Amino acid sequence: MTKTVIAYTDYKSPYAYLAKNPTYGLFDDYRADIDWRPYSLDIPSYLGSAEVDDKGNVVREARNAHQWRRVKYSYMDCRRRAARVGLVIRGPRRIFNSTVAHVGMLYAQRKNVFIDYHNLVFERFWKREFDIENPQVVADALAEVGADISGFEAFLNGQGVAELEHIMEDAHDRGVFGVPSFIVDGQLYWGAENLTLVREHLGS
Amino acid sequence: MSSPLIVYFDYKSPYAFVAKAPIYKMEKDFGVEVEWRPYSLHIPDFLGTVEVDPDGNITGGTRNAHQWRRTRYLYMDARRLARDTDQDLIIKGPARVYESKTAHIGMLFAKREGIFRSYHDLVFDRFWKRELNIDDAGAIANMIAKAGGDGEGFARYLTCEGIREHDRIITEGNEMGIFGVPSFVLDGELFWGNEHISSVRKRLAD
Repeated sequence: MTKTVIAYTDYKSPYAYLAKNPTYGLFDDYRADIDWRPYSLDIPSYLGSAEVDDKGNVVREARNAHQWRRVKYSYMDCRRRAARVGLVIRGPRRIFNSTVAHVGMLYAQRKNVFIDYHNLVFERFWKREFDIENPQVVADALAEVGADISGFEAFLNGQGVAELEHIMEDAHDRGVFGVPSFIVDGQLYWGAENLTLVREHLGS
Repeated sequence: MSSPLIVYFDYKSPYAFVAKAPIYKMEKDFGVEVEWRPYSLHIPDFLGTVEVDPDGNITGGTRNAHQWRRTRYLYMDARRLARDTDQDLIIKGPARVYESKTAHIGMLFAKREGIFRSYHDLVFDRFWKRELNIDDAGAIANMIAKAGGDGEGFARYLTCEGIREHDRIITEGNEMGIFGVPSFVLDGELFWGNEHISSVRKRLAD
């Protein structure tokens, strides 16, 4: 019997980017139905905030020493993992709000262009070639992957944001706090490293 | 011959508890020397604070909704990880946020006394059964004695040399970029989290 895996993702998470292709593999290997859902991380609530200039100098920060060590480790760890699979991960200069790109994702799902949109946004954002906060940039990406974007602006200003908020509330009710997170048969798994357990779950 | 594998742990971390047996196994399988170092997590830095009354009811604190979800998840996940690695561990959520510095100084003393592993197993097991206050010097002295060490000697060590040694290790850990446990440092490379045990094993096997 086909199982459904709910996969929570956020374009501004390098770990979510690294988990993208292995998550596709859950369909390839187990024919699992992947229910992709956006989860807009509130990074300042657990890592504080900071902004760097073009040269990488910190120009603004509200982050404690623990949070700095954690952030530095995360990027080192992500690059280490990315190198193994040939992905480019360049640390963003500030903390982005991924709401617009996530509403774009919901729109892409409606227009049946989800996979192409998902791949494009992740890849370009992590090369610092894509502003996930810019509605026009997101609309252009949707058009590039073949969506009819005539309804995107209205969706973004109405139903889209409401739907994203509903997904977030539902995720919180399920205990989600980070990405990538996976739910299969009501079991929550956080982190790309837990994909092994998700696979075991699907295989059992 | 590779350099020693440094392992940072904290008695109040359920993930460090679950990592203990796999690390012992790694030592055995690869004949590697493991240098255990305490890292006293400052939980308010990343999970906020929680105030409880004598009955265990939450009366205040700074823990936000994200941090509450994260905390609930980590206990569930650590228990699942214990089961998935065939470990029969009792993991009861602690009644309050502990500091663990006293138990860590006890661990440094236990190493000197040559009773590290007995002490280490005892403290982890008792703490997670809620049978040990790891911030209580008397209780830790009892653990030292129970593991076969000099409980009175620990009391002397705790107040001067022990605290200096502990603080030096934490400072050095911070300089190496440590922020959580279990963390592993192998040939200068840092790995954080139980999921990296397999990465460390792979490096040791190469």
